[in-house]
Amino acid sequence: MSDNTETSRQLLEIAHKTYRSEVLEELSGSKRYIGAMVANAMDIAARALERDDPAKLLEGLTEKTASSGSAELKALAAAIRAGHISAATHPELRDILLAYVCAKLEISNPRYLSKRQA
Amino acid sequence: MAHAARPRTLDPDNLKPLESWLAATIGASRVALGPVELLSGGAIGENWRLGARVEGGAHAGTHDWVLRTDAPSGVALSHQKNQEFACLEAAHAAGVTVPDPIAQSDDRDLIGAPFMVTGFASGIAQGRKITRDPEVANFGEALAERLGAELAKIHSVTPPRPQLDFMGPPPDNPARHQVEGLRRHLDTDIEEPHPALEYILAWLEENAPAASAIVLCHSDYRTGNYMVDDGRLTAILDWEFAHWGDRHEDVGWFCAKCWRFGANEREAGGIGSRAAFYRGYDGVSSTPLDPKIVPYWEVMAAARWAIVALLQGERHSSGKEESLELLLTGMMAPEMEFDALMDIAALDGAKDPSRV
Repeated sequence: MSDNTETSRQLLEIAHKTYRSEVLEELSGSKRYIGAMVANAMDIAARALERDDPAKLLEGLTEKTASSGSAELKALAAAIRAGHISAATHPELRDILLAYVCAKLEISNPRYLSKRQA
Repeated sequence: MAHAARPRTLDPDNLKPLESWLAATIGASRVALGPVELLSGGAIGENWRLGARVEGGAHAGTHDWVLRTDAPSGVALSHQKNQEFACLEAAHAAGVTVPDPIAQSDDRDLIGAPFMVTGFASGIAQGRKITRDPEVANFGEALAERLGAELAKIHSVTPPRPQLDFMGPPPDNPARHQVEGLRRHLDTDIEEPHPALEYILAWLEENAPAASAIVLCHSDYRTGNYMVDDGRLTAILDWEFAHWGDRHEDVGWFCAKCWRFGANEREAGGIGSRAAFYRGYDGVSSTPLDPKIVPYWEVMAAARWAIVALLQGERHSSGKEESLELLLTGMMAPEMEFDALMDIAALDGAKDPSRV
């Protein structure tokens, strides 16, 4: 993790803690709703900094799409649409995509995942 | 860019033009409005509650009405107010519990935006409040059955209907037609690629059920879009997505996990049992539901809501409308992708246990 990323992580963490303890509790009505959204956004950003890019889980598939770099995800989506990558060609496809979606949920809403898997 | 400035809408200090227009439109000698109150909600358009005293004509008397304006900017997939009003009229004529359709105008000069006026329906619509009401254990089953019966009445409207021509011709295969439409959104409106959604849409295309009788689908029939007062249904709202389709589409949307507001054990909209909802439907419809097809449409519901959520997020990301709420809505898409993939795993496993 670079110094910049570590500083960003620390800044976000203390901003978040301060916001929750000093600001959010003071809000009511529609401001409380907006305040909760702000806290949620900071939560998501903090988790995104901590975790690997979920797309890394697709690397085994994207290598087979004859593309590279940022275009990999797009090429994979297109290959699935075209039927070049399917459950027939890659029996593990659904499980890999499920792991990818779970990794995205670990960032955006881990509670959703824990509730569904309970 | 901050929130886009809204066009001028109803001015409570200048109601004369609206009063005159209403009187002429509904055949009254005079309409007097007041009190006028801006209702909460209406994140897209605005909802105004209107007291109305009508002299002469079929509407003579004192009324409680609601004026709803169009969105300031177009919302993907939705009809304009005049089209929504035509759907409301068709549903009203079919005996569906909807706010009474009173009048509609596309004239932006009257109040600054297209609008429609309907009867007022009492109660609340918020899905979270309804599904978390401790009384839902008492009223939920009867409400689910009633909503099943109401849905069957909506589906009694079938093409052709000249007033609903704006919906276009009925699709040959509603499921494949939806997959095409959703892919179009991914291609033209959503910047980021979504391989999991592509997989889900490929599955939906491959497993599309044979075309069934085409009916009027509400297409957003779910908890959150009907009003409940003291546990009883008072109105079905939000007709802006109605289209010709397969009756099971609305059933799948109503029962999908994403519209249970966390009350997963109550499979019909987070309020009651699937059995009660189906029983209500089959008690009214001349064509019974096929429960085997509904899980397919629940996968479709998850895919569609995921893509609608992404479209909302895109409104922020594209710079069209700066909004934390829109961005967070877009980030909900993996929740629906997860539900769809899990449902697909279960459905594939039921067909072929080796594919679990």
